[in-house]
Amino acid sequence: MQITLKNIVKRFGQNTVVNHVDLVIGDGEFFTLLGPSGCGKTTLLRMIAGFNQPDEGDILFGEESVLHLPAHKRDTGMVFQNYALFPHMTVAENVAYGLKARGIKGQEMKEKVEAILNSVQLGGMGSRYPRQLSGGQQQRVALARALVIRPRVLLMDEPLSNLDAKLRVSMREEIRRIQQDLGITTVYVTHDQEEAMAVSDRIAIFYAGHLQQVATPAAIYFSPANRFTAEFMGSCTILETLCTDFDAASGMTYAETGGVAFRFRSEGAKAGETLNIMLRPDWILPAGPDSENRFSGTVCERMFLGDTVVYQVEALGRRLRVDMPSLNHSGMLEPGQTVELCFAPESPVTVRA
Amino acid sequence: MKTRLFSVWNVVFVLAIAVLLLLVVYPMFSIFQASLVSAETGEFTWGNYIDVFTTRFYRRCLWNSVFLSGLATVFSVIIGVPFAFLTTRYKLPGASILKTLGTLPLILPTFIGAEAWLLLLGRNGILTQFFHSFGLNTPSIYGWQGVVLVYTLQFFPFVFLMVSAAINSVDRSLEESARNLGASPWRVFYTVTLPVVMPAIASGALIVFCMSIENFGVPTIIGNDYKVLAEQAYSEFVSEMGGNPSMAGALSTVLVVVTLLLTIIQKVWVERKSYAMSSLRPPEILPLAPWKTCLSWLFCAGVVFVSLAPFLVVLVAAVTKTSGPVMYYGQFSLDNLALALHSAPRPILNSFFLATTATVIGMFFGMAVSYIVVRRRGVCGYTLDLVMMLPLVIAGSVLGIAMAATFNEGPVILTGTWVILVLAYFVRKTPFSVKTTSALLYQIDAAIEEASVNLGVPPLRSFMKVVVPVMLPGIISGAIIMWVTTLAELSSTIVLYYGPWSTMTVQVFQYIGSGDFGPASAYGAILILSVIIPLFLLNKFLGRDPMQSL
Repeated sequence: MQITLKNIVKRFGQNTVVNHVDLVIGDGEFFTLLGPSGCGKTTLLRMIAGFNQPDEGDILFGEESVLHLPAHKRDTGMVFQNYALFPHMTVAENVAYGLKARGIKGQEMKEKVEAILNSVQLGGMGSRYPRQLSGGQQQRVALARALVIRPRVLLMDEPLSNLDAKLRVSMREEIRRIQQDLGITTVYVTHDQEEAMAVSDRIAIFYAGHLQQVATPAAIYFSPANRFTAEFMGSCTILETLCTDFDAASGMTYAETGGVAFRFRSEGAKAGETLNIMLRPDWILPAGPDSENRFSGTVCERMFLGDTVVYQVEALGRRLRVDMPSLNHSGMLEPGQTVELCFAPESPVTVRA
Repeated sequence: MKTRLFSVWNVVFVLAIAVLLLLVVYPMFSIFQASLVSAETGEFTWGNYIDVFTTRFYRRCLWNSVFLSGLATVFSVIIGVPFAFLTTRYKLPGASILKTLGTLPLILPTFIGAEAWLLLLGRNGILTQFFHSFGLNTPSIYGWQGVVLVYTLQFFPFVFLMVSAAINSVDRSLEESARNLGASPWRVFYTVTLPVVMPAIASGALIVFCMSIENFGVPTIIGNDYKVLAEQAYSEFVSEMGGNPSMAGALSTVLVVVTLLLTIIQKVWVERKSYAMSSLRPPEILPLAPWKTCLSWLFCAGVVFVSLAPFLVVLVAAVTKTSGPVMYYGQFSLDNLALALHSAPRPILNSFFLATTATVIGMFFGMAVSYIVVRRRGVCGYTLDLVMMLPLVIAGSVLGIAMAATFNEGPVILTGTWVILVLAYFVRKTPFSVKTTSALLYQIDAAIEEASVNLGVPPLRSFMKVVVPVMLPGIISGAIIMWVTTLAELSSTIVLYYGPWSTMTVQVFQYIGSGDFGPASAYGAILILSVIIPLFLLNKFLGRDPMQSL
């Protein structure tokens, strides 16, 4: 089921929380709305579910506008942040709830409930009450309850935010697997960029009611549309440089910052222009004697994360984050030590706006 | 879906507001209006209010009301706060029974408490006689001392309940972090624990004050010449000779303004200083040194005994041979019970019928109101909550006077019918139902309703299928509280009842007035049992102490 959002606007009083949003979510796509809290992503999800009405714009499921449909007729399956399990019903009753509303009962209902509980690994737990389950199990019941009705769209509102870190990782893999098996169009809301990258086909980055960028996780990571997306998706350093020359033939830009001259690829730069270039922490490397874009710095902090070592380095008149693989116990840099660093001319991304 | 759901609840909201305006606001406004009219000339005047504050007698009544209530409040705090701390924070043998028994006085009718103390310390009281036989004189129960004693013993549980709830709502980590920062246990108590429960003490104290100042039966029964406002307003209203409805209106208005002002002050103060947290780990229950345990237990058990034992005396008196005010203790007799149950059972049936009718209406009304208040915050919910709680600051006799005067004329005349009793009970007791139900509703995640709608069940059916079942324990305990407190309602009944619709409470009151303690005790005993049995069943089968949610 393809979902189309056309020019959606939503205001609460004076506050415009969703501001002219256009989106097309493909059939069977796992689509994530990502942004800091209060950016309007949950409101957008609730508009798809029918709990809020947009002030302007239209929402289409396939070719059909659903704005006139009340929430209970939209046929979406929603997983709520705190699961919203009915406390007075058993697991099986919770899961059967939506089936009964659709007139499915008796043996057929029983079989469907059993099958879905098995597929979320809760076989045999049907007679328990929600309060007797762990957080992860409650999460699975919520998912089963939303999926068993075979909804046109699966909607998930920060479904993993109440789980501990390890469970979050295993649950997101499971959600992704089930979504792939069923091929169901899914809209997922989260503020966790790593989670978003792990599960999504595409991500829409939201900030202050506006869409910042819609693309695949890799596209957003490697070519962020603007400074907000660059900084929100993973860590980065943004260097403010002054362009001295641009060579149209090679597409190379010459620029300088902190008294050091650099050469990198940046289309359409003009001499005298200020260029903000973004470098991911692992794009900055230890320099060899012949390295291009070479500069020196002083290590001021070190944080050991197992497979990587994160250094804060004082260089070019600012602090930069540099990630290096941790090769062995003795190969780490010491705080106070001077290092020579560099980056490849192909690495930096020019961030406009 | 939004528009549809909201139109259903909009209708309910408008209806609820209309009912409350008609039954509470309009009558109160009418007596206020009446109070501004001169009884002699029928012209506009502030004269009645000037009289209240300048005439020696009325000024005395006002002062008496404030004095009695203030004193009862102070004593209730002095008893209620330690009782709460000792039973909630420390290991005492039988602490849970002490707590349950400690809440019981709340629900027992105060005027029966007054009667019980007459049976003990009145002119023919058992204790009076007993000490007299040794040539000793007992302190007089008549006058302000007796009234304050009864108020204190029956209302201290309000302080105790509020404080003990507040103690349990403070996470253990708060005190632990104070200790961790180097504070001694005493310092922790008066720098952390006490300030945090202070708003609860204030709320409890306010309820005691309001309950005391609005009380009608106790000062009438044992106050003798010590007149209070609630009593005087009633006398001005019903007095056959020289009755003065304008004066009754003025006294009523003054009474309502006093309680309203205090409530507003308290609300503003408490809302600024409320520290309730969603406590995960309530404070640890600590053991005490043996002698401290012993003293604490004696204090708590003593309070419970002194507040409840008088009611046992009423039960005994009900099966004792009597002749007027003279009791022949030790001589068993079923005459009085036979009178109440057999010869004149109508008041008992009336009480049950009226209480049940009012409760059923109040239950549904309370359910709808709680839902609007909790789920539709904003202006609508707030307004409704405010209007709904308004009857709590209006004394029963005042509301009775207002309703009787208002529905005495016009298209539908209700005064002098049983309907007006039901309506008065409904207005006065539904706030309890709203409180218990909304307390539970606040704990229910609003998303479960949305989850139900999302799964394809229309909004109103979703409400019935997932919200009502979860609210049910709150609805049931609210209904039981409504029922038992309506059975025990004297102050509005005495104004509004007429001949055939006399109730148990009226019987007790009138028999005490005529000095017939036998029949008074018989009706009183039946009333006590009718109140205690439902509460006991509720506690047993639902595992809930309904008083906790008030």
